[in-house]
Amino acid sequence: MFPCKEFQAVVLAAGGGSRMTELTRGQYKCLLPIGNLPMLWYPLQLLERVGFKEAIVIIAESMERNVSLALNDLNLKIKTDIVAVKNAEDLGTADSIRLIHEKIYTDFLVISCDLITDVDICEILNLYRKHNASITALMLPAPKVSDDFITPGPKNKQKPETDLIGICNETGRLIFLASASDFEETIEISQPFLKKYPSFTMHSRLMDSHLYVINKWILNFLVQNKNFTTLKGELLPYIVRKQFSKPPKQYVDDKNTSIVQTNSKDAIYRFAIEKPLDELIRKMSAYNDHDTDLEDTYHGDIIRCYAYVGDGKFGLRANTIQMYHLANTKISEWWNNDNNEQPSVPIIAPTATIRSTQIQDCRVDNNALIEEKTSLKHTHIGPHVTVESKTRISQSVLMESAIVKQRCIIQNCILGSGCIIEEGTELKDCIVGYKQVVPPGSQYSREVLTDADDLIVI
Amino acid sequence: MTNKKGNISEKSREEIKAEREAKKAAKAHAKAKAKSTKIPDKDPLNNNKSPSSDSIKNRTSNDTPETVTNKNIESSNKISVITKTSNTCEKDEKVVSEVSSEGKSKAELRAERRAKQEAQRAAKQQILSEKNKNKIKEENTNNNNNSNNNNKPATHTIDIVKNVSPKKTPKVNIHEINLFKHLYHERKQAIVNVPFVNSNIHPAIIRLGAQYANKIIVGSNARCVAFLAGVKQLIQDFERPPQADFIRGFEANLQESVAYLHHCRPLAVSMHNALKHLKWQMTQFSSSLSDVDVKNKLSNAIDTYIREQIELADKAISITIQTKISNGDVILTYGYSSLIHKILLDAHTAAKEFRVIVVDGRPWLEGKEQLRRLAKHGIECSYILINALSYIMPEVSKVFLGAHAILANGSVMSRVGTAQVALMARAFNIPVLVACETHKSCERVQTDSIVYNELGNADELAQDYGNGAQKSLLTNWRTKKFLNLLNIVYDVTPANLVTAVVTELAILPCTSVPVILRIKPSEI
Repeated sequence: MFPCKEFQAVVLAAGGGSRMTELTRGQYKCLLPIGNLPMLWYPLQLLERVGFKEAIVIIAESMERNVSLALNDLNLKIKTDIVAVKNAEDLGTADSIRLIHEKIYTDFLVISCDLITDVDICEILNLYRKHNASITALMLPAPKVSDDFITPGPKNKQKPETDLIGICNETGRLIFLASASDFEETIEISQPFLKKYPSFTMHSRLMDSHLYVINKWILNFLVQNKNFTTLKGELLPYIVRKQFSKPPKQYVDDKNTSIVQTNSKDAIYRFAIEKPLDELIRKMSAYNDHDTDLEDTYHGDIIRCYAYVGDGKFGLRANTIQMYHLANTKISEWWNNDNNEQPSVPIIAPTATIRSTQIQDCRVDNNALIEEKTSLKHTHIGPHVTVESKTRISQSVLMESAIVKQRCIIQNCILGSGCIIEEGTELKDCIVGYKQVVPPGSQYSREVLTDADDLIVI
Repeated sequence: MTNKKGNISEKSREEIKAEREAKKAAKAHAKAKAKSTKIPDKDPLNNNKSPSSDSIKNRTSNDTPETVTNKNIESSNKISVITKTSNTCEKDEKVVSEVSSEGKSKAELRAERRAKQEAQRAAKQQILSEKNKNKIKEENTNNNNNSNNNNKPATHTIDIVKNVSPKKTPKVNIHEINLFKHLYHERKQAIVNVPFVNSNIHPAIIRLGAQYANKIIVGSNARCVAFLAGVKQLIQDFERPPQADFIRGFEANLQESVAYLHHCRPLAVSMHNALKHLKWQMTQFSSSLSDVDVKNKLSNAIDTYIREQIELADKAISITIQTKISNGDVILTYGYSSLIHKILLDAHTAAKEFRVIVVDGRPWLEGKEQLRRLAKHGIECSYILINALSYIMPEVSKVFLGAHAILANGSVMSRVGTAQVALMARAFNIPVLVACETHKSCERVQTDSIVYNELGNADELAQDYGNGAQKSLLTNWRTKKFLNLLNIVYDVTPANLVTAVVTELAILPCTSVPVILRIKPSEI
């Protein structure tokens, strides 16, 4: 009866996986399998569970066919509107949103395709509704990686990115957001800031999960301001900072002049406008969000950002090889412990041929062929994979159409789709790239086996 | 339950006799069975009690044919407990207990002894036996049919029956307070099944619901304004359904929205009145109007309502009441009321010199907000909790109270605690003025706070205050079976405790409220 819905959902899946190029060469990030399901399934499933009937999925132009095929296979009830974006590699998340702004007519929820979590989105939406927030973001405790967990590939040189997230203890407002790498040793916090928020916690163990509920006016603002390219890196910190500015008087008093001054730094207040009665309601209501001073509710701020700290059983962003591998090793544990309401992932597909007797905690997908006298432990085996006899595989991921010949020993590896492991190979903690052929009898440990040319490109 | 009661009162003597016979037969049958198969295993709920101690007998008094009450008498310590078998039970706990504890007839005593014996026997049997649940169930059903109406002391089986029947409504109602059962029930009735996102209810209403439920928007006026603002948006976004009248379609949708809001939190009287006004407005439109016209007219009606009934009324009340504030006054107020706040602020701006005492009560502590907002403007304030009221009362020269609603008998419905403040003021002979706009008047008559009230979340009472230094002792109250917390939101101050009601029309004695209701055109 109403043309508009309350929330629209946007899944960002155009990313090329720049933090895990070893894996994403030749295959699309959003389709990388986790527990034999494409990564994209998890955010969509999350949305479906809350009751979203449709979602916009932004993908790169090149992957359009693959993604739509993959989505058809998944049997999700949620209706997906796949939007292909040109040269997605050069575009930031904010750019993609800006490109599809015509499709968004209300408040929306942005979720990244690499978010694997079981957090209840209802709570986030409720927090957003409660305070009429500008942005509500989901923060998740950074996943704990145990010491004996070894990421395939060479020893990790890059440190994981840490976000510094300041959350007001009293109100749950998100008041500080920056990347830890922006600071040398000290963080300066201004006095007015401390006065306004005498009690806040600066989290470094939380991770911005890239799930945002965003008010429509921010989209309008984004469309006007072309400077922002990413949501997390630029737009969100900007909005968070802007909470401290006071709306300039002139816009309130004199609407005619305001239209002219477009490049003023207070331009955001042309978009962040309260409904006429909101202030009256706030004045009449006995509610206040803080205790320690005499200020009005919300300190009279119109721009309000909130952080919802997730307490789900698990949550991570599979955007690095480490996280990707972690997700793969833990997913059966996480997903199986769940109650039955969630559609569970079939463990062994009916069309798979298994002649082995030693299979432990494995997922085997369609048309996989596993010969006898093989031993498989804690391994995800994709569709059309062939594992020949006398081979041992443990803690690994075998993507689509990988072929492992006889007498191989594969431990803690990620084998890209279409790769061929020749006879008698021993691989430990390795990544084998897309359509790579590993010569017979070779032994590797902690290496990335891809085409040399590509490594240069990286 | 009510059905059962109805049945009972209709039964003739013959029927009752027949039933008794049937019951006896059933029992004999049961005993025979018990001997042969070593039963009865009891209901798991019952198992945790030691059966010998709770020799419970079920007695039905046939003396008063109208009100048949089922009583459980715990003979060991002579405390009678009323089992909730009929609605009439909850009326007079005291009376019943008196009846039971005083003059017990010989028959009753005998019955008690019998119950004891029976309990002991049951205990033995329990020790002996393990299984045979199915048979027991059969018996239960038999007994259930027969046992409603017999003078003979019932055996344990009755107890089982009782424990079986509430199984449909599990644990939840353990902590419900009998006196307020109807309110819990009302809440259950109000549940609306709405998908969490993107239902056909307007987003503004959904958001409003969340804000009501979380007490972001609280206070009669604020809720009313927010409601109207939400409805206004509803009107603007509403599209005429195909082949239907705009007004009709809109009314249906509005009804749905209201049901949803009611589910989030019961509607305030002010909201009811606003809704009534809107509906009346809608009936006034001729069907020839175009959709856009209707939208505009309705929006205007809403704006007018907010302006006239709330904003201007507040202003008028504030002006009227200024005459009652004199220099050097000590004004006591309770909790937060947007109107009282406005009055005090206006008086302050008018350079009146006065002092305010804000009294506050748990669990919402809205007075803190009053205090903050007054102190911000430099008004001299004190703050106490309601339990220190008698200490502060001698200093006070006037009491100003806000209201949730004013009822047709002149009683004032307001935040729980208000009645206590008014009573205390009366004891100290201090005038009590209630400020209340006429849009909050209500045709209902209510003399106590029980018949109609709103139940707050009982867990709020168990909250710990003072930044969590110490956990409230009540934190785990739900684990205690016999501990019930009740958090009612409003109370009713009787008219005789209120010196006068200040409305935008005049300062009136409470008893003149019906006059307001009468002179006010019903549509407002």
